[in-house]
Amino acid sequence: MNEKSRDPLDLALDSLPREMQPDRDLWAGIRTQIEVSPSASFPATPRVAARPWMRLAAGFLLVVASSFTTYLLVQQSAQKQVQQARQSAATQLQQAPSLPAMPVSFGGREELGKGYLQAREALDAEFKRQVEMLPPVTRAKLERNLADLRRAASEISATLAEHPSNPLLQELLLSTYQSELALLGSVGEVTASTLNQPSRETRL
Amino acid sequence: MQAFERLYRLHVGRVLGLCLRMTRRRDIAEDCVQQTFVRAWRNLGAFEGRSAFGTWLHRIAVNEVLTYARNHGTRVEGSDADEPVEEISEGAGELDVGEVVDVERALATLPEGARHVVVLQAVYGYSHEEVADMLGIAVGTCKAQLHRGRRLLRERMGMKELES
Amino acid sequence: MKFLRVIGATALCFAIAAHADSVEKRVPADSRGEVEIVNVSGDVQVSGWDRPEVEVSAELGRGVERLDVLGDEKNRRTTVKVVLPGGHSASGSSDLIVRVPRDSALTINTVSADQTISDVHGVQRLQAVSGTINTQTWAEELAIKTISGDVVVRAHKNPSNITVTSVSGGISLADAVGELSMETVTGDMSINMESLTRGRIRTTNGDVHLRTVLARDARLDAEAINGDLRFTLRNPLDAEFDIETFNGEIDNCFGPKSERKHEFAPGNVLRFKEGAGSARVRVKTLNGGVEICKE
Repeated sequence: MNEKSRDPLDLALDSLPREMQPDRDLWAGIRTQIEVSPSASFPATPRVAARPWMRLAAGFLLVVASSFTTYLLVQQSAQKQVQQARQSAATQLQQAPSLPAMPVSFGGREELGKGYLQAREALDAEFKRQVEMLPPVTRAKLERNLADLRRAASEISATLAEHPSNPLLQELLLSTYQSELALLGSVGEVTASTLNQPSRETRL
Repeated sequence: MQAFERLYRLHVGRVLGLCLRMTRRRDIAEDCVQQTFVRAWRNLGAFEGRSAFGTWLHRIAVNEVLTYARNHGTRVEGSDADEPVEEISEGAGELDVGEVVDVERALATLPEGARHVVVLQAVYGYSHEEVADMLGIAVGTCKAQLHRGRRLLRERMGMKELES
Repeated sequence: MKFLRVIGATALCFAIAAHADSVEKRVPADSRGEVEIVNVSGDVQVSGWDRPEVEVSAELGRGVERLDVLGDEKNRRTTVKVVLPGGHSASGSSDLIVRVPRDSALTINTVSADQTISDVHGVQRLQAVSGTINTQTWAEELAIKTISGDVVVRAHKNPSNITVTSVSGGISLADAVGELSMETVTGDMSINMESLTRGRIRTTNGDVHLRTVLARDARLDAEAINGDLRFTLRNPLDAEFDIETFNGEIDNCFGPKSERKHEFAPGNVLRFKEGAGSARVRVKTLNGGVEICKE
């Protein structure tokens, strides 16, 4: 990007040395710590009886448990974020039930309020049902993106509270709500057309 | 062990540079560097070669910096407070009103959230997604912090907006 | 005759053994008909040809119940579907290689697999949950929806209306002319157009780079919350620009500088005109940076 490369700030940041040398040799301290506690391989093998098959089984269970725990944590974390973001957005809507009618791109007018809430609830319920059918990796990505979207809405709402008459913020908040509805609706649409049979996904 | 020492010598400069700019204190940064290499040694089996070794080291180093911050009560991501600076560059300290400074000093005066993002993204060249992942924040937050950091840097360095 | 009509209207189904199986089938199809392909469990590769037939070659995974290739009575609509038994899951994927009449209208729905389409000149409606969608378009309309897959489109400079919606997948579009509607949450966009008449770009956190000529009286609306928006505009350029960000930076190559909207509050604005200003460009961001330059 030619213009960015002429930006004095970028030139200044580029001029910063990436490496810095320690005042003293840190290796000695590192080496001491390494020698005191030897390296462990991953995943850590639990202390079990000496029989090799038990160690193998324990290692396998540890990997499986670790993967499943990670999966659960990702899901729970994403779900918690979605719940918190939804709560926050719902609170915002309740406190400001309608924004002034705003023109959207290419004409037309949209108003938030009761109609929005109803549409959102219906789409959200359908979304939750459809998303259950998705492969876990895709589902996690989707929920993270939805959380991102709702976090953006919360951020804009909070900023709007500080600058209530800012039309740019109002417009962007409206857009974000519309994007959320579009996302909820399109997930349902995409999954319904392919996953409308009671079969399970076969690969991630 | 010899091979690992060679890796240490090869990478310590960049790891220290990153730790120092993120923590702003040389003693803490050097501790973080040591802990980074010790943890790297202990988890060498987990390095699968999907990224460069230096990138993997940086991830560990960032984790060490964040752990130190949590354990010693210095801040949270997105904090607005400017904290006093110790010794990254000569004359570092709080800024006088209207004072114009060089980039290293200006970087050190940034609030922690913005500073971490600017160091990782603008100085060490990681992408928004990589930085967000390293710091455990959303991509959107990362971008917002970057913009904030750049705006503050310009102000503190007395720079105007980019002109055509 | 009646017997033949009954045959023509009957579903053509193949019972598949329980292990992976190769299947090939050809059915007659109208040269400007519709083809719909649904595959829950495998890649779909479609190419156009000059025969009035739909040909399907498939490697069916373990446990797939059957491959349906159904034609309606007049061969105007052909459906290709991998059917899994209810309550069971197939342990392998079933990749489909399909050839369709070149001017067919094409609809594809997949879950976690790639779609690759070439030399299909009819309208395309493509949906995927994940997996890359890679297509070329000559038609007046292309609509793509994906959740996490990337989208790569090469147009052929025919005037068209292209709509792409993605959640986290990236979008790459080249050689398009006409109307455009692109929306992502975190996916990045790289858009290269010969000429744009009407454009709507919306992203929450994705970065966008749009290169185009703005047609006379064009309308371009772009919005980002945290994503960076970059526009490289080619001559001839005759447009009015209205750019506003709350926290972002505005960089441009045209001369005018952005101004603070309020002395003591955030907000940058840049409004200027090139030429007579027949086209209109509106750009709004919350934290995203904006860059507008000429090629």
